[in-house]
Amino acid sequence: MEEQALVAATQKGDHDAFNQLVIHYQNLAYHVAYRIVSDADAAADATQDAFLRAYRAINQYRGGSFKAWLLRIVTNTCYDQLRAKKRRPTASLEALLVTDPTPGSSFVDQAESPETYAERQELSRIIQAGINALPSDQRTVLALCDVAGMSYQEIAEVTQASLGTVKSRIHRARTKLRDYLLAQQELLPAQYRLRSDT
Amino acid sequence: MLDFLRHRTQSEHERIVTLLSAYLDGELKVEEQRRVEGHLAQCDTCAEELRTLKYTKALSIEAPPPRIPRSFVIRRADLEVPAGGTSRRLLGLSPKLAYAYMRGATALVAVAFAVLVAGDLMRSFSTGGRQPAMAPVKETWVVEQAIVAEVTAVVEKAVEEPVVGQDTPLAVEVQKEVEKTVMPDATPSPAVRQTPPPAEGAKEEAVQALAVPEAASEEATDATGDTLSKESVGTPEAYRAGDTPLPVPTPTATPSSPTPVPPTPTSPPPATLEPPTHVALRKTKSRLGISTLRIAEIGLGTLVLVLLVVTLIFRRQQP
Repeated sequence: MEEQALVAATQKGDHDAFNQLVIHYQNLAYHVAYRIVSDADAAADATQDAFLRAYRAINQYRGGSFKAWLLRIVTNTCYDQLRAKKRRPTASLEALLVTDPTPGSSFVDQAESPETYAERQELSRIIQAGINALPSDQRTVLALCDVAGMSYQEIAEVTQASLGTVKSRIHRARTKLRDYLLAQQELLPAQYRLRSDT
Repeated sequence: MLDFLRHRTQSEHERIVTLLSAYLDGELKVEEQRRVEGHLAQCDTCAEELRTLKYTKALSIEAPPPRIPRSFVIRRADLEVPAGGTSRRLLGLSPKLAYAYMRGATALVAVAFAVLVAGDLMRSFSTGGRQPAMAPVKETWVVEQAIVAEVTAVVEKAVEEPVVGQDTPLAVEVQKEVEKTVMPDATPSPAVRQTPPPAEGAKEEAVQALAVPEAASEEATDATGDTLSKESVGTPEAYRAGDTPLPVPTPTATPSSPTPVPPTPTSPPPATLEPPTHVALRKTKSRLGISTLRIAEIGLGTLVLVLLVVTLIFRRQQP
């Protein structure tokens, strides 16, 4: 069934139709949420909450890109999470006990070698550390651009900012992340280092 | 000339640098894209900048996303829990909306409280501390009139049954004082002189009747003659119409002493009668006016405090 047909069915009260949309978008929504809130548990909570909000507000959807509409709810939910975390900073007991904080570390792809897997996790950790150093608005546009693969126009709709603002935010975010990665070259796995001859 | 060209070149360089990310993402218009490509062919710095940005974008995309920890499929049971996880609905509203409403209500009541207190203070300053009557004086005066009528009836009844030959000095003196006070210019009428003075029993009854009403009882218990005489009821018109000597309590007269005290030459003359509206005004001030305003201030102040506490609780409930 097409996306718009699923949305229409959900608007008529078809709960299962919405779950098909959830299955289709849950990876993307979680990845974007993780890039914004930088915490696996918080990202999971934000994603679940965003889907619930989307289901309740499905009648307010007036056409257009459903992906953009959904990701706007996801980013708003993430902002709510960040605000709540800022108001009540808490130290998770699990975070203190777990030695490997890399998200998804318990899911090892059997096809890749342990060395490759470790290198990719290290890359992911350094990238995420660089993203954490960005302001939340730059984090959001970078996640929507690099993770969700959205166009600048779609990002402008999601963030409700002008096209020029989106353009400058992405450029500033990418420049800062570039500077961070160049400063961390020695920590990066060899295959991910920037070579001078290329 | 060279400076001008350098300036133009530098500006073009800076402009191109800001467009590099958009160029990388394929978000430029055709004209801008051509301009960037033309500049990149000449400027090694911009070419290097583009190379590092391309590398950054590649790593950002390459970085493995975290695996989702669970399925986010919505169960029917999840729909019964309000969005926001553990946050509960407050007053039937979402926590965010309830908090916003409570903030507005608290602000409104606080402003009303401030206006009331400010108005009270300004009025106090403008009247020099004297509070005008807040209660209807007219109603209080009607009640006073009822008491006066009752007392007058009792006195008249006593006067109609005189005891001949008992024109006591008290009655004569009281009669003179009343005439002097109420009608200072009028000469005593012969009728008044011929009227026999009230008997001892009548005077006693009148004194008791005066002491019994609620309006006078509070002041009478002060056992001060001045207060009692000021609280004497009746209007000038009532005295004129009756033309009868009203028994005025002496300073030592109390409700519990049935025997009237004979007047002595040293006893102070009774004070002048005040218009009854002043009596009503003073009582209204003390009983209704100030307390109503104070009750309103205390009530609003308490409401502000309660709303403030509830608002803070709502704030803590925010997800």
